[in-house]
Amino acid sequence: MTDTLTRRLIKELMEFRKDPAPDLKDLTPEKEDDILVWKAILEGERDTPYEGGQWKLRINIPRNYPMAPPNIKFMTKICHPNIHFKSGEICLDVLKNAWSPAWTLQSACIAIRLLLSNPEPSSPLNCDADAETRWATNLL
Amino acid sequence: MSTQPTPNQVHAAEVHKTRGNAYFSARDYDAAIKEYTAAIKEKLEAMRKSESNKVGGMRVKHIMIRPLSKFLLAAAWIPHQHAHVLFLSLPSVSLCFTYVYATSRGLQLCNLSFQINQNPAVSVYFTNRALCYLKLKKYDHVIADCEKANKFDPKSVKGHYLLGQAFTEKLRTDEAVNELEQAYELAVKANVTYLGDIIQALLNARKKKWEQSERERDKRESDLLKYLKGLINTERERQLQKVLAGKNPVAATFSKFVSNSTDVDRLDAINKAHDEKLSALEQVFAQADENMGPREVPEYFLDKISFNVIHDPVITPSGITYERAHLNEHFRKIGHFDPLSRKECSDKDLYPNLALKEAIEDFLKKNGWAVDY
Repeated sequence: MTDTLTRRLIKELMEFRKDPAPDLKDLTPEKEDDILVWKAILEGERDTPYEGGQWKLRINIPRNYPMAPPNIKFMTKICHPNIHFKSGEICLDVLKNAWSPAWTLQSACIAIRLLLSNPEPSSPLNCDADAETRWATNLL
Repeated sequence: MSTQPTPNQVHAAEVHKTRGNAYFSARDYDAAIKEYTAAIKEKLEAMRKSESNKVGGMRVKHIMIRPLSKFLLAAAWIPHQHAHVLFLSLPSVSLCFTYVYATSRGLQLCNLSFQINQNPAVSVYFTNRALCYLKLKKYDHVIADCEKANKFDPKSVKGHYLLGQAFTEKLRTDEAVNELEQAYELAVKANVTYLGDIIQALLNARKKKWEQSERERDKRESDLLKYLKGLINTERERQLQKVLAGKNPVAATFSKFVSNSTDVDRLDAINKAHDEKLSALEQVFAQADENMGPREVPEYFLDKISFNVIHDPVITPSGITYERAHLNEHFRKIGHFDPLSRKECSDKDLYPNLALKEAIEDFLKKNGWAVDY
C-alpha cells in the first residue's frame, strides 16, 4: 500500500508526461529512489529577454505536500527582481502563503515561468535587479 | 460479599498500558502484548468487582456466578420489588440483564439496563494489543481483540479500523469493507486525524474484494474455455473417425502405402476447420480479457487534492467537489478557502454530493480496478 503522497506524485508525473505544458521542458524526480526531490527545466518565454534560455529548477517536496507548498529554487543563475541571485530562492506568493493543495508541481512551474515575464517589484529578493526594473519603469 | 475494586487495580492497568505503549514505540511488540494483556486482566478484574457492587447496590443478597456457555447465571434478591429473582442472565458483554422474578402475580420477566459493560478504557487496551498483533501479522488475534474492543465500546474508531484491516488480510473482504465504512463514519464524527489512512485502508479492502471476484471470474472463464475446446476436439475426432470408418479395411490398410489423395485432403480439411475454430475461440476470450483491462478513471471522479477516486464527496459553495477528509485537512492546515476557486469556505459550508457518490459507487462496481487508481 503506497501512501497518499507517493500516489499523488506518481499521478502528477503521469499527468505531465501525458500533457506537458509548453516551455516546461522537463519535470521529473531527480533520482529513481527518491520521489521527494524533483528537477524541472524551464525555457524562457518568447519575445522576452529570457527567450532561448534554459533554467534548471530543483523542487524539494515536504512530507505534508500538498498541504504545504513545494520548495522550488533556481539552480541556474538568473537575474530577476524576485529571485535571489545567489541562492536561487523564489519570491512568489503561491509558493508561500497563497499556496493551495489544488496546485500541482506543474502549475507551480508555470507560475514561475510567468513570473519571469511579469516581475513583482513590490517583493524583491534581488535588490539590484529590482532597482533597475523600477528605474526602467520610471523612464517609460 | 461484594468488594470494591481497589484503586490500585485501576491504576495498575494504566501503568501496564503506559509500559505497553513504550514497548510499542520501541517496536518490541511481543513485550507490548504482554503489558496490554496484564492491563486487560487488571481492568477486567476491577470491572468485575464494581459490577457485582452495582448489582449489590440493589442489595443482591447472594450471587452465584457460574459461566454457563455464554451466560452467567445468578440468583438474587431485588428488594424494592420484594420479589425473589429466580433467574438472571447476564450475557458476558452486554448492556442489560434479563431477570425473572416472582411476585404475588406470578413470574415476571424484566430487563435491567446497566452501563457497566461499556468501558472505552478497556476497549483501548484491546485495540492497542490488536495493533501489536497487526504489526506481527497475527490477524486472527487482531480480529478476536477488535471484536471484544467493539463490544466494550461500539464507537471505537480504532476497533473497526483495525478489524477492517485484519479482515482485508484474511480476504474476508465484504466484512472488511463493512467495518472500514463504519470506522470512517465514526471517524468523521470523532474528528480523528488519521481519516486519510482509513480511506486508504478502505480503498485497499475494495481493491482486494475486486481482485477476489476477478480471480473467480478468471477461473470460471478458463473452465468454460477448457470445456468449449474439449467440445471442438471431440467433434474433430468424430469427423475424422467417420472419414476413416467410411473406407473398407483393406483400403484403409492399403492407403498406408499408397496415399489416397482425396481422403488425406478430407482429413486435412477437417483438421484445418477445427484448428480455426479453436483459434477463433481463444481470440474471443482474449478480447473479453482485454476489455477488462485497465482504463482511465474519469477526471470528475477524482479528488482535486489527493487525485484519488473520491469516497465521501462534499461540495463547496463554488460547486467544486472534494474528498471530505482532505478538504478538512486543507481547512485546518492552510486556510478557510476553496482550494480551486479561492473563495472563502469552511467545513460548515459543505454539503455531501450524494449523486456523485452514487455515480462513483456504480462505476467502481463495474470497474473495481479503479479503486486503487
